[in-house]
Amino acid sequence: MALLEPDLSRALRRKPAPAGLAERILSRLPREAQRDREPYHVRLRLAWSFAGAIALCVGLGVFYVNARRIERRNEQARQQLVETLTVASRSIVRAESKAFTAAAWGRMKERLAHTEASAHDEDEDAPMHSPAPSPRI
Amino acid sequence: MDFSKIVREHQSLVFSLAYHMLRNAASAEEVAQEVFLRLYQDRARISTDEHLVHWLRRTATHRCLDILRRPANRPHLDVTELELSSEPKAVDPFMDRTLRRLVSALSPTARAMIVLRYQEDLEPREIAAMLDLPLATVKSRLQRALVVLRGKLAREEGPSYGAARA
Repeated sequence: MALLEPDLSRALRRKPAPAGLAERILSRLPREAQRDREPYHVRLRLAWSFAGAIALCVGLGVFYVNARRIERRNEQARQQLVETLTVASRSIVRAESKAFTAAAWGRMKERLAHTEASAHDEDEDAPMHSPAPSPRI
Repeated sequence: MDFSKIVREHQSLVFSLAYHMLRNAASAEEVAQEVFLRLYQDRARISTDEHLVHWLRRTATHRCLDILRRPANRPHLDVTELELSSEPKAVDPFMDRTLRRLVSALSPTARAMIVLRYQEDLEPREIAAMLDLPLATVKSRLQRALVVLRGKLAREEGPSYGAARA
């Protein structure tokens, strides 16, 4: 048995690699590495898509909330304006009414005075039994 | 460590292991390429040089065993076997070729044991660890493989083999 072992060691000693084996192995590395990285790229793309979708949702949400806030503010301003205009309109109507009443009273007083003056003049000229004219308002 | 340096340093180990097990240069080169590509993927797990060599031997051996256990991929005699290599002229090239042929006729596991023992000069304990087999099994199968080889060699070379070499 001992005789066989040195022969086996010699027969099975390391055989040199064929020329260019290392280069062939190394030339395959980028392709293989690229194939390995593909799932990572896919995962990265998915992650970016997911992040983009979330950012879009957040953006739309912020835009919607902001729009609602502006809409509410505009509505409040509109209501305040309407209220102010209503109050102003009421005041104007009241003032106008007062002015009209005052003017009417003025005219009536003026006519009464005029009528009284006319009646006084007629009393002095006309007989006692003629009736006095009723005042026109 | 630079990966190209690792490839250049250990390509002979992997190629030779695969070549002695498969007896086909093209298949051995394919195995070597696969082993180094796997090493490239798993290189982060390799911590030391000893770990690297152990990993290369183990991966190459198991890859060859996988190939040998597939009936469609039984190795055949390679034409490169016919060319005379850079062996010293003092030794008998025919004897070496005969021995390699006889080794290739062993079962895949026995062949792996013989190659690891006589090419890589591993102890039976290391071979057992590499092939995930009990030490006693490795010792007995190595012994049996040597007996078989010796018997076949005696038949081919004649009973004078032992006497002549002695």
